[in-house]
Amino acid sequence: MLSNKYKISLILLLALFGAIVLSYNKQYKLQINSQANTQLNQADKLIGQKRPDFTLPDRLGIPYNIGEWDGKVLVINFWATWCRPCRKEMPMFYQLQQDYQDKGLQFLGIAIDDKAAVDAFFKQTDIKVNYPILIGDDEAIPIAKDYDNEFGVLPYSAIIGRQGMVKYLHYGEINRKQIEEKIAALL
Amino acid sequence: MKIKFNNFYIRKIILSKTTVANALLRAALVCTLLLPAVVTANAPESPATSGWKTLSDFLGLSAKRDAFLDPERAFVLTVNLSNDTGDNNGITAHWDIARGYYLYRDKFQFRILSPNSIKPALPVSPAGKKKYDEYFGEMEVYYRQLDIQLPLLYKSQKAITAQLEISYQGCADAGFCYPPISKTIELLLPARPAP
Repeated sequence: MLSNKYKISLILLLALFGAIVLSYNKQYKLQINSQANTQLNQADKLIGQKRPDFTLPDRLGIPYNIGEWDGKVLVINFWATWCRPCRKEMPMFYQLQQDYQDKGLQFLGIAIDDKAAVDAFFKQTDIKVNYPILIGDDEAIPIAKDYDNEFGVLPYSAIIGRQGMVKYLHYGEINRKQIEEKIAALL
Repeated sequence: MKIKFNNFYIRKIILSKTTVANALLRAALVCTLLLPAVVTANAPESPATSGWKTLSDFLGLSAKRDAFLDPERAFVLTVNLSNDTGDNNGITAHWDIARGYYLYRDKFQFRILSPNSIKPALPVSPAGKKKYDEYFGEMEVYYRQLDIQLPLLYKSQKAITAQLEISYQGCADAGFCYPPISKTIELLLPARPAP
């Protein structure tokens, strides 16, 4: 027979083992939901900081500075026509823009493409946007880097608060629940 | 004597069980301590697992895993001169592609930056895996490993140096893409005198 001392120790260790497994499973599921949204150790340094400044032209060639949307809750979305997960997000952004624009939400798309590619994209697809699209082309990559997206991963979304401070950064495709939760807290 | 023997026998059994209990306790302790390292090494990193990572790092047992890879690690390119000695010999570009990542077949571009006397022929690439894209239609992508042959057309009495630019673009099944990647590679091409 095992002594009580061993029995108790064994039970405690098994309980600890079980707790770790259960806890890990719960957290792993959370992380699967957030997919690639994780370089937060690096991104953390930008959270709470003033949003990096940039100016880019829209599809008509008119330059816009990021400061023009100060006072709004701004979602800057880096995307490209060749990026499938980027395109998947766009109808949801359209809907959110419609639902929350009266409360001060503003989406802003930055295309890592040239104007011709972006024009062809909107001509050839039924994807519509109700928010400005700026043509980033080659300049968009260094801007994405300024926003802590070191590798230019797409899609990439940065949420900026009304005071121009970076509130949230998301790498990869984002779902409605994830983004709505973040913007609702700022509106 | 018999009783003593029995006592001795019983004592041996108890000792044996104690040894087993010790072994079990040690195994459970090791498993419990190793678990965070194992699960962390097999899953993408996230804030949710930062605690595991810290513990694992403390124990020195973890392999650092990022949620998405540096594209240099996701798509590892090596270029070799082809062994073929025919007139169309050139280079073989080889990619080792990380699991869950893929490269688009129609995004490869090869360009000789210098000298102008070297002309790349059409690259020879294998058939890829079909992937449907609602905008671009059916596309071909490559997973895991890929070789593309690029014949180079030139004549030279001596070995020459050439600059080759290779561009490619890829994504990951997890739902993100990388911008096009361009690499310039210096080649020392063997002499190829006119016949």
